[in-house]
Amino acid sequence: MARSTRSPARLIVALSVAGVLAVFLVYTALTGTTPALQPSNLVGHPGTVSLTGKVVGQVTGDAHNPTGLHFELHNIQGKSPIVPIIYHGSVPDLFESGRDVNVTGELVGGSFVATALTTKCPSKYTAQV
Amino acid sequence: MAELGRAALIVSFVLALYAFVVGSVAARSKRRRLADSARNALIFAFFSTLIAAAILARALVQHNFTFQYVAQHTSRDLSTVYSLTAFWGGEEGSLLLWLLVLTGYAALAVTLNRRLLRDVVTWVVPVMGGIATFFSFMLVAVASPFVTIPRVVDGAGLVPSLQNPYMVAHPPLLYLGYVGLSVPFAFAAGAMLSGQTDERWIVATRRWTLAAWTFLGFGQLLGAHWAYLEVGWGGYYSWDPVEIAALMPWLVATAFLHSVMIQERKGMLRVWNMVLVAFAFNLSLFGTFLTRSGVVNSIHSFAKSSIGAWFLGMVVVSSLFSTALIIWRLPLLRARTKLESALSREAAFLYNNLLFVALCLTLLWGEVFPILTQYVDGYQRTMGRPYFDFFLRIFGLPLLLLMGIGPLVAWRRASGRALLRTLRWPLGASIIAGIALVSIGDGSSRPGLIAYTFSVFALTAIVVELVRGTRATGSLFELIGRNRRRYGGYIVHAAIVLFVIGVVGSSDYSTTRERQLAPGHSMTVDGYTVTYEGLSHSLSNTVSGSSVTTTAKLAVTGRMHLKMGTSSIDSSALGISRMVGVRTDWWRAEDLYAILDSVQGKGPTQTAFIIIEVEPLVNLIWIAGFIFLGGSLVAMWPDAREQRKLATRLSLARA
Repeated sequence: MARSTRSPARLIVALSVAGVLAVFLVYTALTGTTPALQPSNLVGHPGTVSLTGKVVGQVTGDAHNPTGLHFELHNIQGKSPIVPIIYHGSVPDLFESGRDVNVTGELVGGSFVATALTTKCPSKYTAQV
Repeated sequence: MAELGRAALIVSFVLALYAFVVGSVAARSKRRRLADSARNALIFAFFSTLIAAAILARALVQHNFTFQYVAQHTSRDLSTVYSLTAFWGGEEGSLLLWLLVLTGYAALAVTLNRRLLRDVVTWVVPVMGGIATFFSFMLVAVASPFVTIPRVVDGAGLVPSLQNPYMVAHPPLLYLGYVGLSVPFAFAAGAMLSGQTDERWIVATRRWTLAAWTFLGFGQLLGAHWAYLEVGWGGYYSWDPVEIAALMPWLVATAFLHSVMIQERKGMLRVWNMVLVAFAFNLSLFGTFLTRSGVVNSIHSFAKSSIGAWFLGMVVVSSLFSTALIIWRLPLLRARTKLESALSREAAFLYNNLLFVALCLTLLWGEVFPILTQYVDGYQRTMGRPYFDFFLRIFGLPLLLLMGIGPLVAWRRASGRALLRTLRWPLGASIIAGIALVSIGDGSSRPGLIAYTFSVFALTAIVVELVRGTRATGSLFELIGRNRRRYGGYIVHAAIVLFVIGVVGSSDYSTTRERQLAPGHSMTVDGYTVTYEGLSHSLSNTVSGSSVTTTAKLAVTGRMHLKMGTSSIDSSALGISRMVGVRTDWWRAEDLYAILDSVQGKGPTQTAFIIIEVEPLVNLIWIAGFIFLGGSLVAMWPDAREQRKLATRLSLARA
């Protein structure tokens, strides 16, 4: 079997690693990430954020009307400030008071205006009966 | 019966621990009888686990609500099939299934290879025993499925959307995949521990790896199809951390399946293969940690549990063990030959591996980034869909191109001119396809256009290879039969190309319209006119309570004439479950996808908010799944000729 003393494998690997790092740098320079918050640490984060919490109290309104769907969130665990949410869009399965949900949007005048709403998947891995 | 289940698990734990400790002593001291007894302990651990599993299955089917697990995951009105699927519906049952598959795999693998690879198997036993010890310990001490409670009248039941045939198969297939990766890992570790680092461990585990990889891939696809049909958001993949956790080991296993061919043929990439196999196994453990610990925010609301920390500990131990072993055995893992040219089949495999691993690492970075920022900023920052889509294109598109180039480039060294001559058909076909796509207006998505032209390139390359081979042998079936591994691989490649075409079509070229409609009113979507005709309601009673199904009647005209009545909302005590209406236009190769989002008002004038999506080529994704399965089976099928050839080559290499 032919043997060679110099292999381009190392050069290929080194160039690949450099290429990947360069792509990473370009990507991170051009785009941002989204803060994933809960109601207790929402204040002081302007712009679009992802907010996860538990739906408390009554759910009113209609997500397809201009006034939107109104509900409130607090932290999934423990007591926290309650954040009023106004949502326009499609309402996922199993959305109701008491559910853990995730909304994406921004804080506008004391209310969180959401453009996306996801209910946590109805997993079978329930913690208790 | 619960006591018997607990006892069976304790026996499994003791036997696994025996296989681990005594197996290590026996392998180190080269005491054959002791090693045989450790191997037998591992085999019997499977049977004791089987007893525990049978007891839990019986309790589930009989709705024995004195088992806390049964009460938490089933109810009286649940059918036998779905009661049985609750076996893997909860954390404790999932762990038991994991242990059952693990000990079953271990028993089979060490039995089948006990003569061919005696020295290596002696060390495989304690490695598999160590992994089984961890899982059986978890079941005995941390998360037992045999906890009993005072009998309750009925159980909590299973949410309607999970009572779906896809959910019967999806989780166990993923487990078969995850756990299956422990077999090549144990043989790799066994090879290093025994110092027998030649290619025999790869030959012995190739089909195990292929099977685990197939289960993992097909299992994920079933999960995607479930999401498409059941969840009702029009998509099938959301780059959720739990989904990515299953994808990462599959990507690394894909790289491994390619690079082992180079090791078998050229004796190269020996360290790299050890790294890949260890990485794939550790990623399967890491995925379980991510899923169970609740450290990352996922739409899959697996309850936070204490087992996450245990799995993190196991990942750390396993990673340190693998790294130390590879470093220790570096002198034995030196390549016999070197890469001769950057333009060769070997180099193409290397590029393929680098791209797969780079893609996996970017996904891993996307997974751990929120955890790291939690420590730095005090809150998590997440990488969204754009991040994952971006890197999928950056690494996925070159992979697609390589899928076409790799099989046609010569081994050892190829000249640019010869390669161009070989690639003239794929190149010509892809250029024509690109021009045709732009001329019919499909140039709106640049990544989509590139993906399509690359797909045509790769498919044409596969066809060229098949035509060339068929000409030589005279028959396509004979050609495939002569080298099942190679042509099974090409079938899998074709499936991946179809999959890509389906994904690109349904994501880059789909159309969505949503509107509130009164009865008799219509909306037009991409050539289809959908008229809302009204609602119908049906009531069904079960032991758990009643359920109302509200169905929107839709009439579709235009490209397709039909009545759709399956877009419905099922509301019961367990919550609301939307069922989407999907109709396939096979001529146009697209789905008309209808979602009844909400209903307003009462009486005959009720309005409905309807979402209509047109999903081009989406069915190619599901068709590709079956082709993928077929190709994998062809590649896995026992091939006496290939085995003989390989055995001769290996004995020559050892001599």
